[in-house]
Amino acid sequence: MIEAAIAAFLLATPVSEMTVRANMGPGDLPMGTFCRIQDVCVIAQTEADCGKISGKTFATLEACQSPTSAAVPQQDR
Amino acid sequence: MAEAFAWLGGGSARWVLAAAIFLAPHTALADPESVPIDPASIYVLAIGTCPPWRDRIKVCAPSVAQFVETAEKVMGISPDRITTLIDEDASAPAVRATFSKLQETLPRGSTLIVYYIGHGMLVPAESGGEDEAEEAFILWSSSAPFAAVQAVHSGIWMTGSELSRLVDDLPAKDILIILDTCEASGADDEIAPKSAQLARQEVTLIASARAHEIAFADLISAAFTRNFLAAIRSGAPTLHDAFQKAQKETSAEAMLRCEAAVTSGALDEACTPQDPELIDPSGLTKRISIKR
Repeated sequence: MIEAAIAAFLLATPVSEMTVRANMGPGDLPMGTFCRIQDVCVIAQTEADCGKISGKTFATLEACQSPTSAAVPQQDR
Repeated sequence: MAEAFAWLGGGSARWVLAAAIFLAPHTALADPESVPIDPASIYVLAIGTCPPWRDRIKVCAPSVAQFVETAEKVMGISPDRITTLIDEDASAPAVRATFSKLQETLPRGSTLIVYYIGHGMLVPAESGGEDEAEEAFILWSSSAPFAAVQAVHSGIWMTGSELSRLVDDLPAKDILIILDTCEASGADDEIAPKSAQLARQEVTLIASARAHEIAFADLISAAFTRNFLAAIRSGAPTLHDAFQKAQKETSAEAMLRCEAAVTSGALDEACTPQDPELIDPSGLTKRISIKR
């Protein structure tokens, strides 16, 4: 019964439409990448976008510790 | 011998003591991993979220409803031990708050089943290696995040590492995590490490698809959840048996879908058929019997 329902669904649905919608992935959402411009770190959608703002991509957030921010003394709040 | 029991003051007490002495070695020798789980000790957290920006896929709420119905009616789990978070109620802050509540309310020694149906993808792993990736669970947001990396680092989504930390803090003795999402096994290293040295025996993982595999769904159901629940309802004696049946049927169905997609040119790259995976170092799924 289940097999028949699946077969009917496969036959009834255009394959391209089915493949686009019928999965539990994120769709067209970009992965994004960490991007450093001098001492500033941002997230860019693509490596090309990072390049457009003269940045350089890197893999992990930990790599974002810059000498400037590390040198700022901690203050009591 | 009779004198030795005289201080007990009566025959019945003597029999109780004798029975205790007789049974004690057998109890001690019983393998705790072979003792069936009492349904009265099982709790369920079922999470299903299909965010609105991933339109047309609406399988999450009905899948949670079907999972809960099966848990109640077939597995005998009381409704008051089942928590559900659906769509907008399944934002990352809400999921974290629910785990905090479970940390306070779950009885020590209980069993928790966490079921997640929703979108997932591989993102750069917290461990930081250039080629290392882990699974991220796409929890509710009303609009699409700017990028996956941003969603992870701003806490809109939840990684396998975070889920692992959340379950680590629970007082439950056994934990079963069922993931029906693309690339679900990408969470295995964080949730249920295969390495014997790293393995936390109490965490069992059922993943609907392996890393780099699509988990198929249609307008009314997700393939693995549908097959898994059907197997439970159709007479599988344990969750382990139900998984094995669902694995075969889901893989066969995915093969058909992949072939159709590649033949039509709908997929640019090769389609790897979905192949569900069970990582169960303690044999937990064999100890969860299905009520008849």
